[in-house]
Amino acid sequence: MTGYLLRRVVQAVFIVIVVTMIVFGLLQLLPGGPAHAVLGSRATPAAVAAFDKANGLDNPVYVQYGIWFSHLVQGNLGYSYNQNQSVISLIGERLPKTLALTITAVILAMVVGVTIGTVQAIRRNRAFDYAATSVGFLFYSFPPFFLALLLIILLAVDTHLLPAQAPQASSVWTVLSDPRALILPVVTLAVGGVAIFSRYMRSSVIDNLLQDYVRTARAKGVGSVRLLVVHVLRNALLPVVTLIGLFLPLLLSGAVVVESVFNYPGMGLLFWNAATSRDYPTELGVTVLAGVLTVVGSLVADILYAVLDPRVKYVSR
Amino acid sequence: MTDVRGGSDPVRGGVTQRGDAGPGPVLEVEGLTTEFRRGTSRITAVNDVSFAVREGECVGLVGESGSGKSTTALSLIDLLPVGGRIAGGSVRLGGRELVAMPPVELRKVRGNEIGMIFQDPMSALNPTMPIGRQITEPLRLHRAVSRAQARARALELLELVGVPRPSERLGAFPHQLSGGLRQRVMIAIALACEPRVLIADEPTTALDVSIQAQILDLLEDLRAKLSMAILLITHDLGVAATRTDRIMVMYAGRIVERAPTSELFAEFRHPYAEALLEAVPRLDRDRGQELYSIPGQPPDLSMVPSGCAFRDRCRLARKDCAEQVPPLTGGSAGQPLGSRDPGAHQWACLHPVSPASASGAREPASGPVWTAASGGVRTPAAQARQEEILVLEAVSKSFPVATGGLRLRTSRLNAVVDVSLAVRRGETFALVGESGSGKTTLGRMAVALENPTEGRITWDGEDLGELPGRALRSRRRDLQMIYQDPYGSLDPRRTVGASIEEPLAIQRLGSRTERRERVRTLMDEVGLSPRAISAYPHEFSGGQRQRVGLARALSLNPRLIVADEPVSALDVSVQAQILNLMRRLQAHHSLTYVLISHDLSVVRYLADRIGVMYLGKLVELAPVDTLFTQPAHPYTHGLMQVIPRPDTAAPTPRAKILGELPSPISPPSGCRFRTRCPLAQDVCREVEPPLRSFGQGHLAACHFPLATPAEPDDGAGDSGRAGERSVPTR
Repeated sequence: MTGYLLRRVVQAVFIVIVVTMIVFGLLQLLPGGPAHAVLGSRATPAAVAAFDKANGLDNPVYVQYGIWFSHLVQGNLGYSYNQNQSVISLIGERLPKTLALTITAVILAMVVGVTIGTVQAIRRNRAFDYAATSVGFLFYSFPPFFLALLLIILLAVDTHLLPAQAPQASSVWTVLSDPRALILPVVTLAVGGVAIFSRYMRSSVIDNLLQDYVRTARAKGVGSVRLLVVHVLRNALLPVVTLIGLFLPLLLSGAVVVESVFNYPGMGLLFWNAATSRDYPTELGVTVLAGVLTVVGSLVADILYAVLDPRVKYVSR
Repeated sequence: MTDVRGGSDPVRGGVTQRGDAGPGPVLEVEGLTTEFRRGTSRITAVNDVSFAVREGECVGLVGESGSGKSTTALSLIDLLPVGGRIAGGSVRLGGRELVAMPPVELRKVRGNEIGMIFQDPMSALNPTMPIGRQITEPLRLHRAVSRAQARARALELLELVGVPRPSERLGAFPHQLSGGLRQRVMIAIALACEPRVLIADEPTTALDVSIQAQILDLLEDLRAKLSMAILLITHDLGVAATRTDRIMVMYAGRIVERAPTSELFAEFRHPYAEALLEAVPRLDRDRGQELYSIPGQPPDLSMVPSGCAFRDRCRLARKDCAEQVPPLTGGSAGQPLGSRDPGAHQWACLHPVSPASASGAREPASGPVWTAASGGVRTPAAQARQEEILVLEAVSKSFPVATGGLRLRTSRLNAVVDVSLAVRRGETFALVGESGSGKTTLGRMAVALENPTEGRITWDGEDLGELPGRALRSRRRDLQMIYQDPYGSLDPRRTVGASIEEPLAIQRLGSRTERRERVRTLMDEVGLSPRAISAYPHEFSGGQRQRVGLARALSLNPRLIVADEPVSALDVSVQAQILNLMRRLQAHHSLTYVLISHDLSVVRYLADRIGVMYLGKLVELAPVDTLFTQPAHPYTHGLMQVIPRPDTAAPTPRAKILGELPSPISPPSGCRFRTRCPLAQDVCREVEPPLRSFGQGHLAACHFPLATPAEPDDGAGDSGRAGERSVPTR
């Protein structure tokens, strides 16, 4: 088990390094450049050259990358001129809030999706199954911003059931102290996940119900509830768990939209503002972090898989 | 839970009815009928089946796939898959009716009074649950036992079913155990509550013969020890002949014949039952005779012929067979249908095989049913004159496998180790051995699908490893292969015509029309209608698909065909058709066969010479008759002993090969077989025995052989390396 973990962590670190290279390279390709962003679009070429020299931007790309990466390793992500704050402190303020939002959304999507999918599998080809499938696809095909606006109109503007805006507090603890305001953003983020998880869970449970071990369990005298909970669920969850890893990047990009719609001061909003104001260090920092989170997400999924499935440890290459 | 009342053992407390009745019937089945919904139509998988099983008795239910034998078993405790339902009849356990019993009540019967074991131990256990919990589960469900009591009982059960070091196994997961051990665990689960009836559905079909004998021994011992009744479901008449008290033969959902085992084997009355027996290659039969094969396929249950379902394939069928379903009657008193007298010999046939003609029919070459083999059997002298066309010299093959905690260390799995042998032109050379013996790897190397890591393989004088790519590709015309799984080895989205034609297209032979014409000829030759050229594999039965495989292999006019378990996935009646076809094709195209099989009866029918492999090593090599009459290696001898023979006079084969196959990554020192050999001594641990000669063309690698070596020095000097070629071949 430890060996397996170690191997996966080494792989993950390698992937993250490659991600930083790609992101750094992509930002170089964008028009404009930090000099214009800071000095304004009318800055003279001389001023731009001076700025570039002062900030080391006249070095070849790989030298710039080397410097940036060595800072990154030391925990220095650069300085945001627009916000007058170091990028790391900006992220430090906002990351917990986004995590609170996304983790709640994952858990919600997982619990609801798995439950619906399981019930669908048991009641296969009956009314509930068909209804859940259609509603699932409907929500899955909704763009998040549209769904967010719809929810706001229905539940906040028209009926005043829930606040239209997410909590605005600066610390994550105060955010969590107002759970009512979190409901709409979390639900918006989770809806797509519910559709995915229920779909996979449905087919996974159906597959497992046809397995021989299920017949063995029934031949022992196991009842239908115990059969599902003790035998089928763990086996059926295996493929679904890996989905969490794949779902995480989707959530992060969803967070960009949802946070701007609900004006929630998290990473998504930070990125949105950085992108519109050409705040390169912040963009770079947030994108790298998103990459790291994605890799960590799939790592967590693999570890969960290994915990749930005793066979993984023994797989040979 | 500590409610152990009055010191009575709660584990065993459940069944109280036990012992009050004599050897009366425990299980009585009357008119059982089971239907499946398929689309809008209904198919009757089990049709009016009646039987009884007495306490302590072992009853065999024999039939081919689709005969309804498994469905009968599943119907008994209503474990039918979705779409299946019991349409009528009654199942009584100790007088209690199980059909239409409320599910809650029926659950108390399952796993408690009726235990069940299934065919495939690989998939029948929950992969993510430790086996300890899987064994204790029925105890926790049916008996008021504490966790500790259940654990103790699980240990006891593992001991009972012969799992070594039980306490270490409780926490193990199924994938950590070998197939044989898993089947033992499966039996432990079924026996946990000491059921009155054990249903064993093909319990050994997925296992090697040496393990099969061990498991059947175990079931027999347990039956005596626990005085339970066993319903043994099998397709293998050999298993049924030696392990059951009574046999019921099923065909198309009905019992067509039943009798006490010895009575049945003395005289088969139903033509199907008789034909089923005749279709099995036998060890005591002249190999020169072509096998009797039942024409056609077992019927599709959605369109069973009217009247007797077997009449289309029956050699004795007459007009009136179509008019009514023949009732199950017979015996001296001619009891009517549904008689539950377990001792009666009954058959469902209007024109049964008469006892006299039955015994006569089973003599070789009587009547038009058996045609003489067109290939004939070559004499040893004739064989020896043939040139050696495929020569393996000190061939080894190893695969890297990741081991160690980090999976960073690689070990080598030695699939084939230092094998030297030569296949002669036009012969059938068979490789036998258990799974993991390296026989398939060796076969793949022979057709250049794998390269040996060491050693040399020459085909017709050319070193296959040295051939450049282009030359090898055209050489592949000579070397073809047919595979075990007729379902997995054909592309499901490609018509069979396209599959047969593909080798011709790859080799750029002929124009498109010429190739199509050739495909038609080939299909005709293997017994497929050329009109089926644009059909897809799913439209064919297993046997027909294997014919397609043969046609595909034949398309390039090969000289060598490696057949990897060509019939092991097929029903007995179809198996005989394919074996006969293979023989005819060999004679017609002067083919050389390398036959890979675990089934010694099949091997004996087709092969001229046999190589026995064990853990990658060639341990014995001999002409077929020599090997079967005077095996020198204890492993070969052990394999022979455990072949189930469809003959009640044969002694019940007790397991001769002990334990499980060791890991090929770290094989035993010295002789690899020593860990399972009854004759092993100290020297076997230290010195690896070389191949020695035991007479003409007979080699074996053993320190304590069961035959006398021909000349002590012959072949031993070069420790088996190319030893087979050093043997005088004339």
